[in-house]
Amino acid sequence: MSGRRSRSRQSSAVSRITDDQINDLVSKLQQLLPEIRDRCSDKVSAARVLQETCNYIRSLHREVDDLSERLSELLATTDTAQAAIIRNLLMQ
Amino acid sequence: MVADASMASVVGYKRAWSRAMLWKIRNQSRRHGLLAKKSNSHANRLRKSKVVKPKIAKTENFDQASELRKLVPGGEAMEYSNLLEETAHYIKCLTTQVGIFDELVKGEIVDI
Repeated sequence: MSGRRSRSRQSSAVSRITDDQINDLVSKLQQLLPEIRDRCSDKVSAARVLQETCNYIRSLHREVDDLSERLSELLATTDTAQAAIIRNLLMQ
Repeated sequence: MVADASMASVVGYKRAWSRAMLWKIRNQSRRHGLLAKKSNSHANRLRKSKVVKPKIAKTENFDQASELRKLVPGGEAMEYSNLLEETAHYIKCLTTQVGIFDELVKGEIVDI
């Protein structure tokens, strides 16, 4: 397994992403997660951030599915002009 | 899923995850015979910009990253650092989408 030192000597085909850049990206992700952002102000492990990210994406998917379904039902049963317009927009 | 299609088409080709999503949707349409044309410049542009599998996989946080790769469109083929960037953008788009749908639903309920 190549150590950290050898990373800079890898083939030029691989772009040189430093650990700092990775850490920076991980903390940017951390800022987007409501669970961690609100509770822990200290740095959280990358593994934890990835775990929470997966959970968060899954819950967002559920929310979108749930709202889509509710919206479909509402649009199907509502007879207003607004409903017709929104129906049209979403069916593009 | 209409929601996915509209979200991905707004972002367009700017992001790897939206390209992956558009590519998948286009493939599904083609399979259902909705797109009769064989050569479609739209699809060709998507194919050219598709990300190649990285040769060296970063082994750190491998399990969580593999889980994340399945959740983010096109995530399987991304470099770890790209995956993190794409995920951040993907999450922002998803939360925006949730906000919009929420407003639409509330609007429908209130304005009867």
